[in-house]
Amino acid sequence: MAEEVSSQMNSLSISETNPSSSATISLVSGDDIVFKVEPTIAKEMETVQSFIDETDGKITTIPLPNISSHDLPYVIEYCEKSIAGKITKEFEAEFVKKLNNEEVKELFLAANYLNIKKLLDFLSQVIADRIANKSVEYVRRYFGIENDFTPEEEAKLREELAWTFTGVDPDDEDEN
Amino acid sequence: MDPPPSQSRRPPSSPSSPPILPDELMAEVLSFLSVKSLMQMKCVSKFFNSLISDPAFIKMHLRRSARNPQLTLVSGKCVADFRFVILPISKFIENPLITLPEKHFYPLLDTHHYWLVGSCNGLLCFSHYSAFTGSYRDCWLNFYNPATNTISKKLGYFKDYCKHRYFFSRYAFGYDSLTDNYKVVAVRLVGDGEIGDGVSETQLRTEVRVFSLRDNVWRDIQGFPVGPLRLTLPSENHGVYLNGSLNWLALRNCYGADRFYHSNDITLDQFVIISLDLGAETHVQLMPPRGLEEVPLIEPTISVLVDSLCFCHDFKQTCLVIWQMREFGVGESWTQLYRIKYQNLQHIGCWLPLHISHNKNTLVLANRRELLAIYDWTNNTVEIITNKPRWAFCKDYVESLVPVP
Repeated sequence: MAEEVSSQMNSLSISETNPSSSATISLVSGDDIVFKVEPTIAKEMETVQSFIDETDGKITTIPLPNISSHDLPYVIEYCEKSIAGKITKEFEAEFVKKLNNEEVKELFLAANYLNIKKLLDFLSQVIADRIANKSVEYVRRYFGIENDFTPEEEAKLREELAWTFTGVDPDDEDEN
Repeated sequence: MDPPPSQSRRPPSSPSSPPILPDELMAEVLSFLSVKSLMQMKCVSKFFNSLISDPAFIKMHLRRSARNPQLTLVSGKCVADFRFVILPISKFIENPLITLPEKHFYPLLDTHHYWLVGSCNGLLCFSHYSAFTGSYRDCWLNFYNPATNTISKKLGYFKDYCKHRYFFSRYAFGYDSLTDNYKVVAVRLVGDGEIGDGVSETQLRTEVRVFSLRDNVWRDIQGFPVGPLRLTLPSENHGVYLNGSLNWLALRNCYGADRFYHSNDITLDQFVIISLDLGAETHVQLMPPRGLEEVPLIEPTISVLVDSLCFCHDFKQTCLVIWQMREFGVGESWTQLYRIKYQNLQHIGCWLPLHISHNKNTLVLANRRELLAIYDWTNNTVEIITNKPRWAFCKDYVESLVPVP
């Protein structure tokens, strides 16, 4: 609660100090860092755009308490490329190379919160690629999932599915 | 003004706790995985196990999987020598010298003969036949999901009767999305008189029965007043499935009791496409392309290519012509897609298109001599594949978790 109040106060002060910046949109991260973006970028973020539309464009400073200043630049970079029509396989490969597993998940949650369909689909694929062909234990660690099967239940299921457990990759060192 | 509502379950930017994905996002991620990976992941947790068996998730996964089309390539012209292999189209085009598995890929049951009827949403439908006993033979169906390696028991058992062996039932397989039900349609040519035993002139029509997987029962439906082509052999392209309909190329006012495509005896206006709506179980007649100028010497075919109904025929034994019905059911929307000279394919005659890539640059074709060709439309180059095994036909295939009945 305290955080929301502080970010709203923060946004108020920003609108006051920048009366002439109505053309740009200010996105305020959860840790109160302001990112100025073109309105076209905001359009890519459905959550932001609908917030702007609801206020008839009067409010151009948007608090995004769920998104950190670490993640927001990645989101903005992706949206810029998307508008420019420059989402290529090469760009996407470079883009995810920089991200460790935790960052990919953070960004995935951010894309979901901001409702950016393209980024969401892309990151779904990235996460799927990172867990494909990995062991069950690796996938549990990856997602922080607790095993709620009894040993008997799990053994039975594994036996039924034994034919699928061929060619599983050795677990990578967890990156985090 | 409130900030946009928070959907996350945790406070933002707290680096100590790793991000936990909510269930609906977990489903989103898992829908991108292969069936084999998903089968393994059933062991992750109870939630994973139930999600991966959930009908809504299975549909979501199927939609994604459909973006990676595969082919079921079938080898062997006679039912006794029938084998098949499944592989992604992209892989096949890269390396068409595929070898068949030594053993029959499909877990063969105690069956005399079997045949691949069709492929739909990751399920393969097989028909099985016993040996002939007089004018009868026993028939049944089963369904196989190769990705989950599950097979149904024998279903749809019945005794097929006919005096003339060309007139046994043939099958086609499809899915009705409105009722979420799979159906097998059996068609059987019948004449007004007694067929066979020297009777050769009788007007042909078609008896039609539908097997509903959900109800596990055969029902008679209104027959077709025509004779579908290519019923004379267990054949690759009769009863092609497209978006909830099965379609047969047929002849109206068709007389005869044998292999009844004789181009000299046929007029253009006899050609018709019968389209059976699997939901309503009613059929309509669609006209073939108007641009078809004369009766082809070789039996034409219909196929589903680039997600459309296509009409493929020989033109004066010089080229292969392929028409696309751009808007299903609309006769005016027939458009000529290709006119490929046989000299460009290095072999004359009787080519059947198996697959056309989405950008329409690459065609996979087979011909009756069981050659396979990969034809590059933009560069007008062809690669002829003559190695064994020789492919008889193929069906489109997508990997899915759809359970067998």
